[in-house]
Amino acid sequence: MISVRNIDKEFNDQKVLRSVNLDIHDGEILVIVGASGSGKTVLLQHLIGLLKPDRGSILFDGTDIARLPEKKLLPLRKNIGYLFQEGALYDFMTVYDNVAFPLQEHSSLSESAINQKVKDVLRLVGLQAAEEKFPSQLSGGMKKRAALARAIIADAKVLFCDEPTSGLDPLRSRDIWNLIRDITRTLHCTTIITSHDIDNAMRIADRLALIHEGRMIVVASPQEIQESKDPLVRQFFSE
Amino acid sequence: MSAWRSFFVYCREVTYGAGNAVFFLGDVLKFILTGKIRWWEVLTQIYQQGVGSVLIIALTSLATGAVLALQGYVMLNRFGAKEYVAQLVALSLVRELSPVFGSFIFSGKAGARLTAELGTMNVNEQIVATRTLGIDPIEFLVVPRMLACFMVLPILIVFSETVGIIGGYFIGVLDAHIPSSFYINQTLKCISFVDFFSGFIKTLFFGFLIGWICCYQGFFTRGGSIGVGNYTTKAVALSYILVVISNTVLTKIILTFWG
Repeated sequence: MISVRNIDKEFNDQKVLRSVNLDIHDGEILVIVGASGSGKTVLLQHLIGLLKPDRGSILFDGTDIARLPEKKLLPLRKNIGYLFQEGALYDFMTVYDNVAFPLQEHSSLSESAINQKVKDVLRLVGLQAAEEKFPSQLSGGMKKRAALARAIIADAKVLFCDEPTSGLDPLRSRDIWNLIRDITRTLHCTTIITSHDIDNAMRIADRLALIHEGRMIVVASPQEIQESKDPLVRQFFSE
Repeated sequence: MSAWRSFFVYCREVTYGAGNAVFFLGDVLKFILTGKIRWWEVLTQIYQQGVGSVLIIALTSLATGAVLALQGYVMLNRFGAKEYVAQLVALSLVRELSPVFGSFIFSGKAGARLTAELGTMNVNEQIVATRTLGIDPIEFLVVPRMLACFMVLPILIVFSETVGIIGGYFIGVLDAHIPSSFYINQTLKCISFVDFFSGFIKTLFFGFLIGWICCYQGFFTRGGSIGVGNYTTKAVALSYILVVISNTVLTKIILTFWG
C-alpha cells in the first residue's frame, strides 16, 4: 500500500501541493483528476520518488521514500512501471529493444525467454507488427502502447500512468483505458493514473481523487462522486 | 546597485554551475572507478564519435600541414634554410597545432553531437524515464560517452598529425623541391619522444575536458528545442575556451619539466 501523509511542495515560492493525504490500496485503479496545473503530475512524481516533498512522508510498503536517496530508490523502481505522457521511449532503440530493456537490465532470464516475453507483451498491447520500428516511425497511440509495454514488462507491482491518453482521439483513448484496466486485472497490480478524461476515468477507476490548487478535495468511488453534494466536485465532474 | 546585484547573481550562478559540474564529474568517476562500465556502449560511442570525425579531421589536418609548409618555405627560404621545412611542419603539428585544432574540430563535431543528443533525451523525458526503470542515467548514458571521448580523441589526433605531415610533405617535395627521402628523414629525425608525448598528454586532457563539458551541458539541458540549441552552443564555446586556457597552462608545465 502507498500512503501519502501531509506532503507540501513549492517551486519558486509557488505552492503546488498543500498538505496532501492519500491512501492507495493494493490492486486498485486510482485516477487522480484535476484541472491543468492543479498538481496531478507533481503528486505522481512524488509517489515514485522523482521529486521530494518539502514536508510530509510517502510510505511505500512501509518505507518512507521521501527520505531515501536516489541510490536506494533505484532498486525499488525495478518493480514499478511508469508511463510518461509522451511515452519517453529511447529514440535510438527499436520498439523491441525498448520493451526488452528492463528485462535485460534487471532479470536473469535467458535471451530466448526475454524474446518470448517481449513478443507476448507486444501482442497484449497490439504492437506485434511494429517491433522493429523506431519510436519516430510510430503514431501517438502506438508510442503510448509501446511505452505501456515497457512499463509492464518486468511484472510491475505498481503502474503509474501520467495522462495516458492526452493527444489521442476518443476511440484510441478508450482502447488505451481498456488496455490499462485489463493489464491491471491480469497482472494484479496497483494502477495510479492522472487524467483529464472524466468519462473514461469514471468508467475504469475503482476510486477517483480530485486535486484542486494543490489540495486533495475528495477521494471516493465513481458512485460516491456522482452522489456528492460538494459544489467543487459537482462542478468538476459535470463539466 | 542593480548592476552590482546582477553581477552578484551572475557570480552565484557560475559558482553553482561549477560546483554542480564537479559533483556530476564525481558521479561519473565513481562508476568508472568501481568498474560499472558498459563496454559495448563505449565501443558504439567510439565508433560514432570517431568515425564521424575522421573525414573533417583529415581534411583540416591536410590543409593545415600544407599551409604550414607553404608559409614555412617562404619564410625559411629568405634565410636560405628551406631544408628545415620538414622540422617546422612536424614539430608544429605534433606539439601544438594538431592537439589544439583537432580538439576544436572534435568539440564542434562530436562534442556538439553529445550535448544535442543528451539534451534532446532530457527534454523528451528519456533521462528521467531511465530513473523510473531503476537505472542510473549517468551510468547508462553519460559514462560510455565520456569514456569514448577520452579514448577516441588521442587516436584522432595521432591520425591528424600523420595526415598533416603528409600535407606538408606534398608541398615540401612538389612545390619546394626538397628531395623526398631527405624530407622523410628530417621529419622522422626531428620528432623525439618528448615532442610526441607532450602533445599526447594535452590530447588526453582535452578529450576528458570536452567529454565532461558536453555531457554535463546535455544532461542538464532545459527549455525544449531552443534549450537544446542554447546548451549545445554553450557546450562548444566553453570547450573552446577551456581547451585554449588549459593548453596555455599545460604548455608552460610541459616546457618547464621537459623543455
